[in-house]
Amino acid sequence: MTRTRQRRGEQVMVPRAEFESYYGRPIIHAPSWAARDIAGYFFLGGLAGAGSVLAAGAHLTGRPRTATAMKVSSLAAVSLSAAALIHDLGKPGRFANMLRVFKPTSPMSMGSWVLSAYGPAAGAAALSAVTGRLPRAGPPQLRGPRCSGRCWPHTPPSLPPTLPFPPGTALTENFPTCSRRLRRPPPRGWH
Amino acid sequence: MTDRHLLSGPEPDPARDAGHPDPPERVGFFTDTSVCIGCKACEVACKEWNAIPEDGMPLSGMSYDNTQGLGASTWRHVAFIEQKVPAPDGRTELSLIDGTPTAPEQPQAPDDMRWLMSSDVCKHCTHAACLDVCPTGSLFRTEFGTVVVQEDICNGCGYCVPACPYGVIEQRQHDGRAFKCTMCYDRLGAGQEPACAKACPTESIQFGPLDELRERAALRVGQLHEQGVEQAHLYGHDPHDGVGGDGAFFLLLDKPEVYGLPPDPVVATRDLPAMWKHAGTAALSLAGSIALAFVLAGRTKEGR
Repeated sequence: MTRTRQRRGEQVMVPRAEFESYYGRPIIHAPSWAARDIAGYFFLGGLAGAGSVLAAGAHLTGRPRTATAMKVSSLAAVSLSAAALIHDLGKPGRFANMLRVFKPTSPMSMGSWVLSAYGPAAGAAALSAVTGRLPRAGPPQLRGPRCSGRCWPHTPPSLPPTLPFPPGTALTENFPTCSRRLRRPPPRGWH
Repeated sequence: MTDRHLLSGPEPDPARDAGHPDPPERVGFFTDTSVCIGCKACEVACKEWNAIPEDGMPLSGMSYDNTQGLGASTWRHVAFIEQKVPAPDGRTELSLIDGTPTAPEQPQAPDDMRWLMSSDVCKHCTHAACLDVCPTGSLFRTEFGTVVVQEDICNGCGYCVPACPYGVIEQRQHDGRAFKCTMCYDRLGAGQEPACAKACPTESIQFGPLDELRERAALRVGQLHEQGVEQAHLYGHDPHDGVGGDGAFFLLLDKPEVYGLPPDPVVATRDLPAMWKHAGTAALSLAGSIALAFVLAGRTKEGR
């Protein structure tokens, strides 16, 4: 029992447990993880995730330079995070086996899925931000509120008069003017 | 929840809960350490049958035990405990390892030494933490209710190693994958008993349907108590313990710690719901703080 921490002035009722074992050997095996790999995986993964949330905030509040910087740094961090995780495997070539099953009882399984879904998304966001291409492909949440008002008249008649999707899942191909508004200022000579 | 506890607690039919539609009876080991003679036939049979590589040849100084413990290349391990009886102050004296035995208060007769020998093995838990945390599905529950690693799937992430509350499964060096006792899954499939039980000359290792073994074990404990061996008790037989009961349980003659067994093992998944709640709270806090930061930053911007 580890709850032997003594409060002031109070007697501990049960004496502190003495560790006893077979010739003093530990009962469980120590993890075989390399500290740098696994700590790096967690730290860089967290850094990337938090960076992406910051990027989303910056994007929403009209700070495109901050957003681009955060997207790029997040891509770098998540790439290194994945590399650290794969490097730590006993059989790195079998990383894809992580995606055989979806197991909420295994935090590592969930981590691998998050990494596999989020990594490419972070990559796409960073590429889009840097090249200015496919601005409509960004996370739709960031578009919906801005578009819905102005773009509405451009909705093709084939669509029902109300938005078929909640803001956040919109198919912005239907909102041509949006794309230009959200796109980075085109470089000189562009057209 | 009814009587099915999928994360911890009693679970009467783990094989069916794992998706086997019509599983055979759950099987297991009952290791009666009171008749173990320390011959290590189980260790040898296990190595031979499963073609396990050698696990080092050190002289440990731990009585006759040079195997030292379960690991990637040791799926059966015979523990040797040399004890003076009675142990001082109700505790077991393990003095041979450091060579400085505590002086006995009175000279003891030469025959008051006792041997404890016990063949340890994977417990094939009802709630197996190794299986629950395995991210590749390499570890799986067989139709016999046992837990087996598929070596062609394992990618050596090592997550199962610290998850095991008994310190059984381990990654093999220079290979990277994790290995442990399969309860001779191949032999079970062919209607044979596992190699260790087959080789045991004193029937210390008994193999059979788990329910039957539990009855047999209870009888044996009663018998020993009648004969005056008061300290005999079962370990790992109780479906209400922290791992939902073991598929391989033991009759011990001293505290579990003396044999290197945890006194109160708990499956890691017991705390899983709480863990995910904490993770969710952390994620929401992060999102909330960042949103707040932007809102406040927006205000100052407007203020200027």
